[in-house]
Amino acid sequence: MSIETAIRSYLLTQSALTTTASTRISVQTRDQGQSLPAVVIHLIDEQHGHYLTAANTWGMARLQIDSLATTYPNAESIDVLVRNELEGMGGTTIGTSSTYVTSVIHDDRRMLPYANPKDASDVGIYGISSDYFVQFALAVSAIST
Amino acid sequence: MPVTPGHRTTVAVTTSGSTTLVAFAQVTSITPAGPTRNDIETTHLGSDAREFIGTLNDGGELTFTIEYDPAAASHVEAITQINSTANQTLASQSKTFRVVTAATTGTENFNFSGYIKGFVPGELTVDGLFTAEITAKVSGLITRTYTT
Repeated sequence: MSIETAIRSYLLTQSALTTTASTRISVQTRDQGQSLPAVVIHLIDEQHGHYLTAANTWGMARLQIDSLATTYPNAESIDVLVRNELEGMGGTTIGTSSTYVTSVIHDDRRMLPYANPKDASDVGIYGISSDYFVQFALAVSAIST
Repeated sequence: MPVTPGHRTTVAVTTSGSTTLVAFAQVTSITPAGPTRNDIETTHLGSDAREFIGTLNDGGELTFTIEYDPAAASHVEAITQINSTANQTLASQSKTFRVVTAATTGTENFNFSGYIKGFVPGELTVDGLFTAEITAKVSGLITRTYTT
């Protein structure tokens, strides 16, 4: 299981977040016509460490997590809920494939461009985007010699 | 032209009371020891220019960096050797070290006797790992064997 799907699996088990966002926590895309608020997880970058003779089983990923809502205060609220569940998490195993997360660090936060409604039946979307630096254990093989 | 990449280089040491070489785990970089000589001036009144001879070879120091694992036997051994205060004799201090490089057309061993003189942890940061730099002092000559 990738780190982005493991984080999604973890957030889906956090009732403080799912009380508001329900199961509208996805990776990369959001279903068309899906109601709000919602959370979308993007993998920005993932790096793996190496020794001179093998991979060191340590991964470092930057995740961008967008909190989307029909009002700005609601977007802020979802962003805070996500941050409360992630920042400072570490030394724990998450996800169905038991990914061991060493640490999660909230790195930065920014406002997403407002998505204007397409017509009178549509709604505008406010968004807050936060980046998280996630360190986790990888399952890799030693380099063949 | 054959070359020697740094990738897959190993460094090992004998443990206390044993002649078996134990490879250090989780090594991220190695700076092999480099022999040097000092100069002794032998210039005299009849010299046309300054004259020198070299002193005995000083094998220098091997340094390498590890990603520290408190459960790794080789890391524990390095700490044991640097902290040892028992029987500070030449025999008890002297260990055998070996650096093995993997050239494109063979392997090369650098062997020497020496002792661990430094185990210095690196800075612990929010987004980094616990690393340590280990230093070994060469005593005597460094011998080289190349196997194709």
